[in-house]
Amino acid sequence: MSKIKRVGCALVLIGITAVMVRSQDTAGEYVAPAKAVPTGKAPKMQVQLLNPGEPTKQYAVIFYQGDEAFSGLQEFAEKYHVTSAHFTAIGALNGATVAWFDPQRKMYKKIPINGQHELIGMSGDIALYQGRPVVHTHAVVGGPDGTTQGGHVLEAYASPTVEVMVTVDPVTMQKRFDPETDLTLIDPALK
Amino acid sequence: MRWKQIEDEPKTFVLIFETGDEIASVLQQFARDQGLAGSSFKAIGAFSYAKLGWFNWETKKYAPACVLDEQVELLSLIGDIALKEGEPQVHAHVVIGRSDGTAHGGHLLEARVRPTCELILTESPIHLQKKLDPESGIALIQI
Repeated sequence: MSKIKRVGCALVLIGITAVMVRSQDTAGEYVAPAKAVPTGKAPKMQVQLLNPGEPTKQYAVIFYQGDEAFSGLQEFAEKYHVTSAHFTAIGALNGATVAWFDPQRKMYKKIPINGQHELIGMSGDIALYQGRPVVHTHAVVGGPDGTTQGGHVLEAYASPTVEVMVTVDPVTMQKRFDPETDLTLIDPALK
Repeated sequence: MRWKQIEDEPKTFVLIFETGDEIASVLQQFARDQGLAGSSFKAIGAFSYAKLGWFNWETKKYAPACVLDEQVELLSLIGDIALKEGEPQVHAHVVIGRSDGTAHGGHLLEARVRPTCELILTESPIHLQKKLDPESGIALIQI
């Protein structure tokens, strides 16, 4: 084997090892609160306005197999120009990442949820930060023996469905950056 | 169970369950009586018995996740109602807390109220329809 080939093999092996170490570390990984939400991860999402003509709008937002519901809700909020909303959801998931806020580090500790789980309850709100809607949601999930886990939702993959009932208020709710926690918090006094 | 309509727009009901009421079947009957076709609801309260399910992707059925034959807090109940072949179908998930504060949860199969369960339900003018999804083998809301 030539020297170049040997170096190439070694680099590939290092790469594989790095990827493996990274995936095993997910449980202890921390993420910063202000992380951009990816788009296009919920291609099957369907939206139905339930009460046309009313000032306070009610929507059913339904996700199907493989849709990532958190980024999907973010897309819904942007597409429908949501400036203040709250919602509840139930369904089932195959794979999710929830998180726990560590006030010392000012970061979210990732909690991986592997395999099929009931999405027992997900509730959340939508408010504006720097003119863009921000989705904030918490979930409780249940395993095959009824034991529960939960946290701040980072990603949640529908399997087979997630049913979200959203109430959109005809007002604007603003968030502001809180330097003490590095989080964006809702400030009802902000116009 | 006693109920009262507390608002017209959006149509909102309060349902108060009493000791001994089996919540899943009573709610199903209420949905049929009122002709509910696009609702969402939430509740808190307490149960003397609860049977929860977990959707098994292999068998495409709800397997019993846990049966708690004891006094538990109903920490959260969230659900919706949509039409399946013209009949309202109630879909609800619960989190319950045991006497030591540990939580269990899943798809509501059966639960007996003790002493109360307070449920708020909002009905919308637009109906939601469920259709059989061949991949999962269960009926899902289709828009």
